[in-house]
Amino acid sequence: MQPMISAENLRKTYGTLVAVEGWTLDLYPGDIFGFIGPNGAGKTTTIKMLATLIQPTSGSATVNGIDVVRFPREVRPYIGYMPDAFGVYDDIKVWEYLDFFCAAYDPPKESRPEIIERVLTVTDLMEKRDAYVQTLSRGMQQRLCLAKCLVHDPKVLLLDEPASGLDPRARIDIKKLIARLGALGKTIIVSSHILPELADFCNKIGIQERGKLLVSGDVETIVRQLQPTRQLMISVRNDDSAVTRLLETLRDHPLIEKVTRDTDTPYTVRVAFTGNVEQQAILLRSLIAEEHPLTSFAESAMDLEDVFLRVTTGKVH
Amino acid sequence: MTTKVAPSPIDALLRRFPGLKQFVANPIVIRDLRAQMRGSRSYWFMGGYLLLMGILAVSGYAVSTGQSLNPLTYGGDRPAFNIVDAQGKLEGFYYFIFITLSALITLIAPALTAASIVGERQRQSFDLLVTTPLTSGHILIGKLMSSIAFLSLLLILSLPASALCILLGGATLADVFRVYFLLAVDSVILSAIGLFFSCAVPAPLLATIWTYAAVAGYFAATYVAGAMSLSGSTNNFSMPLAPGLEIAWLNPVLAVMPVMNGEGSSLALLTRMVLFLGIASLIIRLLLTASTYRLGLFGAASGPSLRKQILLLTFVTVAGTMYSAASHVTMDMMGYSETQSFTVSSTPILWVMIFPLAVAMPFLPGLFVPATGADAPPGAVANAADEPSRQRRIVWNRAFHTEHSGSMPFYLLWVSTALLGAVIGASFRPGFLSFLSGILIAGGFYAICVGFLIWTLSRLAGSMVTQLSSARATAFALLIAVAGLPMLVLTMGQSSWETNPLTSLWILSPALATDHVGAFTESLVRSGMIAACFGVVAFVIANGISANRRRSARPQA
Ligand SMILES: Nc1ncnc2c1ncn2[C@@H]1O[C@H](COP(=O)(O)OP(=O)(O)OP(=O)(O)O)[C@@H](O)[C@H]1O
Ligand SMILES: [Mg+2]
Repeated sequence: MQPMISAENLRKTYGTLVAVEGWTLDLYPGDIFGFIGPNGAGKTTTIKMLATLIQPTSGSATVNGIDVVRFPREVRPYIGYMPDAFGVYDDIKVWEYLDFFCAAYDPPKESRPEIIERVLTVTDLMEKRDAYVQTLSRGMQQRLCLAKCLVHDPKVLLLDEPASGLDPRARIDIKKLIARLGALGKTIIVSSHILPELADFCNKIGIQERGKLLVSGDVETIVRQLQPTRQLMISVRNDDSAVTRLLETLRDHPLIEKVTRDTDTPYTVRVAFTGNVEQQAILLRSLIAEEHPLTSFAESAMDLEDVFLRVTTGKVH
Repeated sequence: MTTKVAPSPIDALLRRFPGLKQFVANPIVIRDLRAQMRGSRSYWFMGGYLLLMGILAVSGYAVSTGQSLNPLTYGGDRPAFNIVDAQGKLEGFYYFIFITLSALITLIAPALTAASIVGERQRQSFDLLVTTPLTSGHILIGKLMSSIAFLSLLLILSLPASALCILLGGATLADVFRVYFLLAVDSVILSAIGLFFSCAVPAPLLATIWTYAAVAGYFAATYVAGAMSLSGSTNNFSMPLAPGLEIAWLNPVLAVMPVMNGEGSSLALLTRMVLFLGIASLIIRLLLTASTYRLGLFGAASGPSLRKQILLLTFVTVAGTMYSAASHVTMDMMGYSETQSFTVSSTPILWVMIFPLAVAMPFLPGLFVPATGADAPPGAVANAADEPSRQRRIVWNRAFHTEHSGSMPFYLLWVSTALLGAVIGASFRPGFLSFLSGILIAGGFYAICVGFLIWTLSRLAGSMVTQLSSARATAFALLIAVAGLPMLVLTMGQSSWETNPLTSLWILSPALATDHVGAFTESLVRSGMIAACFGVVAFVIANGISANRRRSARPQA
C-alpha cells in the first residue's frame, strides 16, 4: 500500500537554530498519529512543512504521493490543516465562513449548502449556523476550524493541538470526533504536549524533542519498548499473614523482577512482571490454585507520563 | 432524487477559462463584501457620505458662485448678470466638486487595501487561506476587487453632486464620464500601492504609514511628470500624440482637470484614454507582481515575471520620454523656437536620455547582487561549492529565472533597452547620423564599463558579506562612494567645476557634460575608462577575499 504521508529526512533551520531534523515517517490511510513533544520541539514547524506553509531546508515529503515542495498547489486539496493559533474574521456568520472555505475549493456551487450542513452536523455546530463567528466560544471556534478542514473531505488532516484550551468535556468530544474521522479512513496527525491525551485514540505515536523524532511507531510497541515490565497490583483479604504468604510465593517466581508491599493501598502487593499476557494469566491461575485469598489482580494503567518523561530530557533549545 | 441543473453560460465560460475565476466569483470578494455591507453600518456610512457630498455641493456652489440655491433669495434684486463671470464661477464650482472627490479617493483608496494582507497575518487567519487551493493571484486580486467594489460605490454615490455640475453647466456629460473613468483607474493604482505594502510590511500600522508615504511620493512624481509633459505637449502642433495627458492623468488631481481646447478631437482624447489605460495597467500589473513576490508564498515564483515587467516599464518610460523629447526637437527644426516665447534647445533631449540611467544606477546593485552567488541559502552554497564553475558563470537563458546567476543578463538587457531608447530618441535629432555613430560607440563603451564596475562592486560586496540584504546594502554604499564621493572633492573650493579636468573622475559626469554637446562623447569615453579602472581594482580585491575565504573554509585534513 502506498503511504498517504511520507516524509524523508525533513529538516528546517532558522538561521543557526535547527527546528526540525532527520524527520522520517510513513503513515497509511486510517492511521492516527499522535505527535507529542514539549514546547519548542518543532511540532508546529513539522506540521507546517507538511501543510505546504513553509519550505523545508532539505529533505522531502509527499502527501498522497505528491511532492509537497515541488507541487504545493496540487497537495493542498488533499489536506485539512488546523493551526495551533488561528483567528476568525469579524462580521461574518458561521455558515458564511464555511461557505468561503468551501468556495475556495471550488466544488459545484449547488453542492455547497449540502456540504456546509454536513460539516456542521459532524462538528455539532448546527444550532450556531447563523451566529457570528466572533461570538463563538473558544471551543466552538476550535470546532468551527475543524469543520472548515472538512469542507473538501480531505484525505489527510493535520491538527496542531486541536484540544488546547478546551474544557474536559469538549476535549472528549473532539477526541471522539477525531477517532471517528480516523475510522473513516483519513490519515490524521494530531499534536499535543500531553501523551495520555492522545494515547487512547491514536494507533501510532511519535515523541519529538529539540527537532528530532526520538521514537515513533505503534502505541503498544513503544510503551513495551520503553517500559519492559508490567506493573501488577495484587490485593488480598484484609489479613497480614495472607500478604506475607503472597509475598513469599511471588518472590520465587522466575518472571518477577521485584515485589514490594504497596504503601498507598493496604493489603496490596506491587509486582514488576516481565512476562506477556499469557504468562500473566498463568500466574493468576496458579495463585488461585494455591488458594491465596485474592480480592483483585490488575495491571496498573500504562503510565504514559512516565514514558514521556523518560524519553525526553527536558532540555529546550 | 436530484434534478440536474443546466450550467449557466457563466459557469460554462468559467469551466472553459479557469483563469477568469480570479475575477468572477472570487470567494475573497464575496466574503469581504459580506462583512463590509453588513447590517445598518453600511447604510449609515453611505447616508453620511451622501450627506457630506450634498453639503459640499451646496456650500461649494454658494461659495464659488456667490449665489445661494435657495429659490427664495435667488430672485429679488439680482446684480447685473455677467455671462463670462458666471462661466468662470461655474468652473470654480466644477473644480471644487471634483478636486474634493479626487482628494477623497486618494485618501480612501490606499487605506482600503493597506491593512488587508498584513491584517490577515496579524489575525492569524492567513495560514488558513494559504492552505486552500487559492493562489496568490486569487488572494491579491480578491483584495483589490473588494476595494474596487467599495470605491465604485463611493463614485456612484457622488454622482448627484457631479450631476449638479452638468445641470448648472460647469461641465459636460462627456467631461464627467471621462473624469469618473480616470478616477476609477487611478484609485485602482492607489489601492494596488496599499496592497503592495500590505504584503511587504509586517505590522498593520507600519504598512499604513508606508502606504501613505508611497502615495504621497506617487502623487508628487505623477504631478511633476504630468505637469512637465503637459507643458511639453500643449504647445506642440507637430506631434499630436506626444505624451502629455496620459502621464498627467496618472495623478488623481490632474485627472479631474478640464481638457484644454488644444488637446484635439474627441477621437484623439479617446486614443489618449486607451494609452492611459495601457500605462495604468502596466503599473497595476507591476504592483501586483511585486506584491506576489513579497507575499513569498512557497510555490509561487514571481521573480522572473517581476524582472520582465520592470524591463517593459523601463522600455515604455524611456521610449515615451524619447518621443516627447523628440517632439521638442521637431519643433526646433520647424523653427518654432524663434516664434515661441520659450526657447527649445537640444539640451533637454540629452538630459532625458541620460536621466533614467543616471537615476536608476544606484539601485542597480540591489538587483544585481544575487548574480554573484555568494549569498545563496545554505543548501545552495553547498551545491555551489561542489561545482565552483557554476558560481561565476553567466547563464544567458536564465535571464528570467530567480536563480543566483539570473541577474547579470537581466542587467545587460536593462542597459540595452535604455540605450535603444536613447538611440531612438536621438534619431529625431538633426544631424542624427554623425551624432549616432559617436554616441553608439562611446555610449556602448560607457555602458559596458559602468556595468562592469557595478558587477565587480556587487561581487566585492558579496565576498565581504554573506547575508543577501547586507550585501545589497554594502554594494549600494560602495557604488555611492565610488560614484559620488569624487564630486564632493571636486565641488569643494571649485566654483566652476564643469571645466575642471578632474570632473571626469566622477563616473556620472556624462550626465553633466550635456551642455557641451561636442564634449559629450569624449566625456563618455573618459568616464567609462575610469569606471573600468575602478572595476578592475574592485574585482581584484573581491577575488582576493573570496579566495581567502575558500582557503579558511577548507576542512583541515
Ligand atoms: N519563524 C521562526 N523564526 C525563527 N525561529 C522559529 C520560527 N518558528 C519557530 N521557530 C523556532 O523553532 C523551534 C520549534 O518551534 P515550533 O513552533 O515548531 O515548536 P512546537 O513543538 O510547536 O512548540 P509548542 O509546543 O510550544 O507549540 C522553536 O525553538 C522556535 O523558537
Ligand atoms: Mg506548536
